[in-house]
Amino acid sequence: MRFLHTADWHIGKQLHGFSLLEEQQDAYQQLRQIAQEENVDAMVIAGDLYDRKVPSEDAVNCLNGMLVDLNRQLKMPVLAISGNHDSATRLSTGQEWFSATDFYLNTTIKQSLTPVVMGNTQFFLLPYFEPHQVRETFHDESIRTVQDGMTSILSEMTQRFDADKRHVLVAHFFAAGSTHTDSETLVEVGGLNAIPVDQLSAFDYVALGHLHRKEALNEATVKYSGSPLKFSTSEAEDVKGCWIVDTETNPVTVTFRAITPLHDLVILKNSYDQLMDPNQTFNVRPTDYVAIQLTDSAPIPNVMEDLKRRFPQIIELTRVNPRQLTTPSQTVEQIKQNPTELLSDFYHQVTGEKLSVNQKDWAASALVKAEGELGNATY
Amino acid sequence: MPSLKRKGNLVMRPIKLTLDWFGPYEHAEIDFTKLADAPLFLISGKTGSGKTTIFDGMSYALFDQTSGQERDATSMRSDFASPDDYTQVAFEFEHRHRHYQVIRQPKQLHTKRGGGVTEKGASVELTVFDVEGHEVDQVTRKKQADDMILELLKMNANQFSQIVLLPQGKFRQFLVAPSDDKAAILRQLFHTQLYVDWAEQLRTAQKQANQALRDQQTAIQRDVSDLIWTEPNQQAIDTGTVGKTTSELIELANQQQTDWKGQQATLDQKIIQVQQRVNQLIQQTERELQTTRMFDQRDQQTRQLAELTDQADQMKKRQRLVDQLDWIQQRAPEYTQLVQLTDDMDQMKQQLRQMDQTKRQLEPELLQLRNQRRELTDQQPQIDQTTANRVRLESLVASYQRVDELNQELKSQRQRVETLTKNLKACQDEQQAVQNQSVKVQARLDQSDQLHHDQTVTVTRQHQLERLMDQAMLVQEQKKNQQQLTLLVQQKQVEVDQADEQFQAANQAFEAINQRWIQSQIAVLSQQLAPGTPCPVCGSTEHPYPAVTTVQSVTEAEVKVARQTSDQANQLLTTAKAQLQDYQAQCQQIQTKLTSDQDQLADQLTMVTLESVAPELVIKRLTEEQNQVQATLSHLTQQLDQLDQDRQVKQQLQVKVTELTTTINQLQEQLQKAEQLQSATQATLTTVQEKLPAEFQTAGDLQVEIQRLKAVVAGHDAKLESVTEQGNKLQMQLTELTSQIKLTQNQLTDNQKKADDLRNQLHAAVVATFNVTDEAAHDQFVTGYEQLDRLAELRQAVTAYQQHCTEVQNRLTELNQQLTDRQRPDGEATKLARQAADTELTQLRAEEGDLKMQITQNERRLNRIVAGMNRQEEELTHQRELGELADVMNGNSDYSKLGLERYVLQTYLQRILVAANDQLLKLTNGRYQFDLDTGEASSKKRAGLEINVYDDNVGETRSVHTLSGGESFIAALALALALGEVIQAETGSIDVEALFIDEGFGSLDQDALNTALHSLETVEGQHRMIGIISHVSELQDQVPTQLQVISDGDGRSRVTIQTEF
Repeated sequence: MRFLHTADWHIGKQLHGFSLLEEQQDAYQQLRQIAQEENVDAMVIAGDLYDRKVPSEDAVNCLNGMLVDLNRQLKMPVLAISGNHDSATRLSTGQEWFSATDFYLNTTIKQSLTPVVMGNTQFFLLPYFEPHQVRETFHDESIRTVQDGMTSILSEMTQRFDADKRHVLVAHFFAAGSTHTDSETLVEVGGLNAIPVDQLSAFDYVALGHLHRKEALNEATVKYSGSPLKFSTSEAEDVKGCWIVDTETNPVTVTFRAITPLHDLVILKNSYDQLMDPNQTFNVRPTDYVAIQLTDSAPIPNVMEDLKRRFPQIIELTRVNPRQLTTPSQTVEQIKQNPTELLSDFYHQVTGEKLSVNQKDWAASALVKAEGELGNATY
Repeated sequence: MPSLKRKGNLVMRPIKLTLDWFGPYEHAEIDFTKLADAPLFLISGKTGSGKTTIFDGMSYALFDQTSGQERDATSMRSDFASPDDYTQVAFEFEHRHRHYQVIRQPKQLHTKRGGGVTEKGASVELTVFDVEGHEVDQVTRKKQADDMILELLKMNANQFSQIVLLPQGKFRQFLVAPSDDKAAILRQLFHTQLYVDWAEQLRTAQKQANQALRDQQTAIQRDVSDLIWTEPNQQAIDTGTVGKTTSELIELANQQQTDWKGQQATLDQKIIQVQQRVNQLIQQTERELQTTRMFDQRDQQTRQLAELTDQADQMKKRQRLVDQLDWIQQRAPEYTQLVQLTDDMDQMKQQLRQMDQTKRQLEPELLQLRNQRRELTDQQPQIDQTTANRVRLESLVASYQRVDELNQELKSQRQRVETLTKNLKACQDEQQAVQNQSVKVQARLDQSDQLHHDQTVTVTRQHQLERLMDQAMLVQEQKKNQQQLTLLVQQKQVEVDQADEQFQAANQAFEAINQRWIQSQIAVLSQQLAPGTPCPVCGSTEHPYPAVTTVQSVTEAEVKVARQTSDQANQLLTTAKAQLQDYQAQCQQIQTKLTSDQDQLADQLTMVTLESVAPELVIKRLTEEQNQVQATLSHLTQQLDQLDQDRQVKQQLQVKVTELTTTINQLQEQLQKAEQLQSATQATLTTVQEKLPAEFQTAGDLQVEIQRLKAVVAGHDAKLESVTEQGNKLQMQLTELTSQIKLTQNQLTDNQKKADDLRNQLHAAVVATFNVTDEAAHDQFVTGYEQLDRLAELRQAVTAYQQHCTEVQNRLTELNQQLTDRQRPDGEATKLARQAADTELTQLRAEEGDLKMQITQNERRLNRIVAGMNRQEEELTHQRELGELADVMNGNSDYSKLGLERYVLQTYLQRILVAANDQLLKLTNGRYQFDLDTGEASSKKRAGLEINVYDDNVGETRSVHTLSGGESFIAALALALALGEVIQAETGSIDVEALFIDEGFGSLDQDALNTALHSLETVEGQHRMIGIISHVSELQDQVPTQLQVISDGDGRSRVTIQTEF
């Protein structure tokens, strides 16, 4: 059977304060279009449907609309999982009714052990999980890392393999050897365990979510679909889209279908004058999101205001060569020199004159007295 | 700029914090090792639950101060603590492979032993453990402990709270504080106090110099006013003839000096003259005095000479004596020798006598000792016998021991027998008791039949009463019914009457109408009557008198209606009558029934002996009876229950009896066995005892005897030995003595001979020289010999006399010569003259002295004034220079408000800002940077340390006060972290492997919060444990490792550690 693999929609996400709902709607429409063109039997969404555990009403409306459109209007079966940005509990509302229309949304490990069979393929939908959840599910206190957890889960899954069918895993984690961008938060502000790719060799295809660039991992049958939109400047050069997977062949056939963003994310690296020059044109539409990297190093008054007049949706403004403003006029070592010399320098700096002999003497005797008193003083 | 490296091994790692009765914590243990695995952890909990108290605890344990310093240590004791509870904070940490534990308790009221409350003082205990956990040191004196901690950490409470705990809002304060406040903090951190003191010293010097200058001027003025003037000069000044300026006055004074000096010179000359005169007079007086003296001397000498002549004879005699004594002296040595010899001889004789005496003493003693020895030797065989006895007795010791053992055993066995007997008796008694009880119980049980019977009877009665009650109730019902019916009958009667009336009326009406109708019909008919037709009524065919009606015609319908009405009324009446009859019948019936029932009831009541009750009160009485019966019944039931219990008890007792019997049997057996054992032991004992000697009862006695024997033998041996030794010693002594006697005797003989010779010699000499007899010679010599000590004296006296004579004579001759033609002078005149001259001299001198003094004083003053005026010039220059130096150093000059210390601090602050910029650039994506404000300050308070921020988006620098809440949080964080780094690098204070940020997150929006978390995550890359304290709930979802502070709601809180979601 054929399916479309996408993930990381992050409905409701904001890009430096700009709402992306419109772009997300457009991206969805394109995916929908592709799904129809490619005649897929199902759409797989590998997690992070929402951006926040408690999404805003607009976001909820948006995603609801999309799922209804996809599953009820278009009658497309949907195989989805909750990601680390979703609240598994909230997302699972209505789960029990979904299966009636071929909408499978797994949010627990237990659910994932029972595959969804569609055509010649068994789909194992494994949501984002943490070690303690695996411990609770299997009642095994020795599971301390996600790798251990994965091992237990996989052993259970493989027991349910039907040898006549293909086996596809849909999951949401960090695969070892992948690179990540700035838009993926380190989950627990403390790092994320990685799962080695060879653990997954039993599956014919692994549809992953979590990383936003498909380029993050370069394996034949283990793929990240990437997010449908560019969520950070480090994704500016990427081509976004989805994977079309056909399980009739052995090994499975995987094709990429690109989607064009409604509003692109462009990086402009140039000098201020050039950017403001009306005769200069840039391949940027006013509705695009622009990240500007200035090549100037001097400070420019009202630079943001001015640039915004030309590029209304600036999401970032950085310097290629950041200028260090503050260079100390003297180092601490200089300060710690002989106090009398320090005084001479200071005096000269302030008054423009040198110390007279008398002044030097006075300073010296005062210093001796001050040192003596300091020695006697208790802190 | 590279980030400041940390000194790797100077790290303090917190291990565990335990709070008891501190703040809202009854007992809270925080294990930091669990939190250390995560790079970032959250301390979450509602506002006021006690999060900051954890740091107060840590700060208190280390430094005896709470972190915010708004909460005093003693007030941190839990409000809900009772005097039995002990407030205490214990903090364990590791530093350089050593484990430290500091336990501190604040001053608190505590129950003392024996009741009451006492105030227990603050205490601290610092224990040091080595890497294996052995205690290495313990300090309990507060000062020592505090010093030790300070030395370890190299930071005090303030620095701790700045480096380790960034307290609520405080770290933002540093960002916006005025330069003075910043300076205070930086000064403490970077020890620039020296510069402050230095500047202060110069300022003091400046003030002193100014003061000195002023003093100088005052001095000059004083000197000027102190100048001494002559009268005319003074007047001139007063009247203004002479100007009052210093220089004019100086001129005048100089003039005056010159005049005075002239005067002084004249005086001097005069004085010299008078002085000369005086000298002359002095000399004259001197000469006169001399001459008078010579005269006096001559008289004196003459007198003396006469005296001496008188003494001449005496002196001659003395001379002769001297000659004699000289001779004796020559022979003195011989005499002394003789005396010596005589003395020696006497001594020897004495010695001989003594030795003889001793010898006579010792001889018998020796004899005695010899005898003793013989005696002792004779006793030897007896002694040997004694030894043999002893040996024999020793062999018996063992048997005695056995006897003791057996006695012990016997005693214990006896005890056992006693115990068993006692137990047996007890059991038997118990058995008896149980049986007694059983009998009692049985007696009760026997009553059960009776009780059952009673119960049955009572129940029967109860039923009877119930039935009666029912009946009574029924009767009552019926009575009621009857009454009701009577009423109904009455009602019905009324109805009937009414119906009857109505019927009558209706009937009448009907009749009327009918009549009318008939009449009308008749009329109609009569009208229709045609002759010839038969009258319907009578049949005649003639109708002479047709009826005529004046009655109103009525229709058939109306008649019908009237008939119907009548019929209806009739119907009603009939019905009513019927009903009435019915009711009446019923009534009758009921009455009959009622009467019969009442009779029945009465009969039955009689049966249960209640006939005397009035019918109305029946029910009440019955109820009473029922209650009574119920009570009886319950009592019976109780008793029956009791019987059930007794049955059970009986069973139990039986069981008990059986048990006891068994036990008794067992005990009897045991007793028997024990008794047997006892007898056996007794037999053995007797056997052994028979073998032992009678005189020794116990092993003790035997031992005593053995010892005694031993002692006897030992005594004998000892004595023998000592006697022998003494004898030998004595023998030796005697031998020695004898030989010595002999020697001495020989010596004596020699000396005697020598002395005799010498004496003879001497006598001969004396006789020859003094011409005396032999007998008197000795006396003569001795007398002279005794006077020898006067010889020197005498000789001297004679010589002196002679000399004196010579002297006097010579002197006399001399004086006579000198005074040949002279007279005694008269000193009076000279004296008078001299006195006059002296007075004059004194006077002149005084005059001169005054003048000189005036001159000198004025001279001095003038010099001072001039010198002072000269110096002023120089001093003013100095003052200016010093002033400038001091002002510049203190920031008081016009050039700059920046003092030296501030200048130095600027460098430190810049260094901090550079470090902070590293962070800030990263956190704000290159937008913001710190910049030190180097412009001219408006006031000293704000000079030099104001911080600006450069906004790249605007391309301008502005004050930090203009940052928004979120931005200023990030800026302050960057600054605080940089401050911490620089402090550590500078002061060498150790890293505390933890950083806590208290609140400040609440004012951030989602993006800012993410940025803040991201920044902390970046910061933590330096291997520190970072803890955030916040109530913001979003953080609870994002940070898995949490130290949760849960408030129980009544002022108490507790902590739990969560390490993952």
